[in-house]
Amino acid sequence: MKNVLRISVALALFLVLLISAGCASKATVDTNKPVEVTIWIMPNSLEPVNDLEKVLENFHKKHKNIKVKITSLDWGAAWVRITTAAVSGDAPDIVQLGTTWVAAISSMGALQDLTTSVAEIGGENHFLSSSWKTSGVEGSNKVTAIPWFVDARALYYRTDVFKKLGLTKKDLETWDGFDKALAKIKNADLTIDGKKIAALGFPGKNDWNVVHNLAPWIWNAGGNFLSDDHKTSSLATKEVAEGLNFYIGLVTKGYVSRSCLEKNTSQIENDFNNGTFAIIFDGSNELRGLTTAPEQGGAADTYVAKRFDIAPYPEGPRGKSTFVGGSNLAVFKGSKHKKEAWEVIKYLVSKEPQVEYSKRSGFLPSITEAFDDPYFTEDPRRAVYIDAVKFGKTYPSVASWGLIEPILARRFGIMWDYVLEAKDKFGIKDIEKILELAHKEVISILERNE
Amino acid sequence: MDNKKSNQSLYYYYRKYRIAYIFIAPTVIGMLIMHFIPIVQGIYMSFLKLNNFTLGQYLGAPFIYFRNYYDVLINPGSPMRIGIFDSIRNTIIYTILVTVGQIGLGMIVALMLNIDFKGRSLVRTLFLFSWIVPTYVTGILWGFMWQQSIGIINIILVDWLHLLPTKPFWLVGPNTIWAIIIPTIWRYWPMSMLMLLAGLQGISQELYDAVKIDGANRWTAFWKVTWPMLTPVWMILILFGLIYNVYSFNIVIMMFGNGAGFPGEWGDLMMTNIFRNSFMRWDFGAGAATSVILLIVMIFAVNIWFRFYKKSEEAF
Repeated sequence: MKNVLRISVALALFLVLLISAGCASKATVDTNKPVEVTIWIMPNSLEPVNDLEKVLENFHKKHKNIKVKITSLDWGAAWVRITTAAVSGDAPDIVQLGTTWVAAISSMGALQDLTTSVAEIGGENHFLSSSWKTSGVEGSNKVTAIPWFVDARALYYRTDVFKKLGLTKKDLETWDGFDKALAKIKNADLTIDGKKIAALGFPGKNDWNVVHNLAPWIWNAGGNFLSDDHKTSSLATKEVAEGLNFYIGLVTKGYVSRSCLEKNTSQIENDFNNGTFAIIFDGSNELRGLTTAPEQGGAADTYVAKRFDIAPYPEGPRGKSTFVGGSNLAVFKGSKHKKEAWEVIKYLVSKEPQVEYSKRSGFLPSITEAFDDPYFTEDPRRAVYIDAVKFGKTYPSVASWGLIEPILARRFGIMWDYVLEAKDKFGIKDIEKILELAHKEVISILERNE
Repeated sequence: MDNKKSNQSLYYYYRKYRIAYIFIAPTVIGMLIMHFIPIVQGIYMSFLKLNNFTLGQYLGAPFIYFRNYYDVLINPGSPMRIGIFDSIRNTIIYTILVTVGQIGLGMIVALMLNIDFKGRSLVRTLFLFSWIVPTYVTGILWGFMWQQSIGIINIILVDWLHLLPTKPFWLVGPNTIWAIIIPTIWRYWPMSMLMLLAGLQGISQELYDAVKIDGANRWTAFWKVTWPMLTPVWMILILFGLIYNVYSFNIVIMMFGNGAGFPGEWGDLMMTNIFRNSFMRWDFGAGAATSVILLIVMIFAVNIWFRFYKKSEEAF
């Protein structure tokens, strides 16, 4: 009996020692212990991993114990990889999310709530207001993804063509002026540097930006995709039809060649750089491309690069909004290094890294302070984008948007097919029919996911 | 008594073919893990409300019985049903034309290569080139070739051969179906050609001599000797064509917007439809239901094929 007692006491003591040793090792966290923070990004620049590593150089100097491991995902595969990671828990610490994905991924409950930490980086006012709208699910008052960079659109035009025809930037200020300028370019039938100049170029169905391309024209005519409370579709309205009618009219009037409709954004961009179009709409990365030396992968030596300027989108009857997209950074709930991950995000949304990343990627900063940097203020062409983000608009940050966008891309894709088949006969009645179908489809998605 | 007998015969077969059973065991286990379990899981998923709101629960998502099947096939207001009939029509046309095209072209070239001529093996190797090009590369390349103004196909058809008065659009509108059929035939015909050539080389010359004595010309000899003797080969090719083409995905998805676009009313196949609904619209339950429907249709189709195959085997 005594032996049993002795053994029991010895075992109990051993257990207490073991537990206290475990507790002690937990209590004394070694802050200098090397930590690897993993981050998934998309190809935001020509050398995505290298460019972000360069931006993080100063971070590594300050935080010697944190090593950031960067993985670049293809945009096409990222959607599936990220959702799989969200479900399986086999996820990185930080993930880049396209702004239109934030609400959907947040609603899956896979992202860390960052609301209480936002004050550390200057709160909501630190960011562009259009960009901040995408920081979580609208109406939830939770911040789950911090805006990292912004993608805004503007109008690129050929200064030599405009000079030749007596046109100025002012002619592009309104829809009416824009229409007249295009008519003048079309009728002039110019050939410059051996290239026949088409008035305008934009992609049609075979593009990953089908909805983004149409959005400003819908918004600037006073239309919208969803009602104000995001509960129903507002596509079957006169304003949306008018916006689309103006945009499609640019094709039926012959300003945009029909062969453009089978191309994607990159092909249109290349055609502009090669001197085919007088005007295109594009993001700020096109400006970076046209001002970067060829040895660094740019096209600064081309004929067009020396003869172009940038203007805002023409103002419609009810607004001058441009589509604002971009990407945010989020921390996965399952991350084992949340504190370190937050340090990385904090650094990436501070002024210097924001400007540096903008220089490397061509995208715009998400924080207001960065736009005071000479990089933006000293180049009038870059300054156009400051206005673009000010008047920029995003899609509603609701979970259903991720389901609605592919349906709209399909319906508007079919619309471009019909425009091509109908030639110049495609009018507002045809648009209304398509919008009626899109309206029903969006309502059915909203009802199904209620 | 019967049970005992069958148990005895099972034991007998086990004793007799033990080595064979041991050898095929890894494959059977592999098949169970790689095919059977995912299929069962997919069938179960088709009864769940599995979308982006419930994805976190995965197989614990709400069980909604046949709702997904109703939405895919019957409910006119369901987003899953949007475009499903376009996809079914396109998949049927695509599968039939691609399979016929592959076998037809493969047969013609196999007949040519069956004749002995100098450099035959070099030509045969060159003909295999399209088959070794990955399907996603085929999709991207043909996407450029089909372009209306600068695509090589319109340049050949209109500028060089003057076969058409104006350059047609291939990547938009109803012509899209041709823009996906032709590259698929181009990609896969060498496989048909190889199999048919192997079959041709096994046909005895005596049979041709016999029909020649009966007064048959080359055309008759082809239909009376070559084609029937190749029945097992083209029957297998039909099966391959049926399976590969119904589940075709890469060429279409890469040709239109590099995987991000919508192929259009005349380019959307069953697999692109399922992909869009499952991975872009995040309705995995409805996507699984469509996949299960396709699986059932394919089981029936393969069953019909098997009956014909059995008949043709018995005829030999």
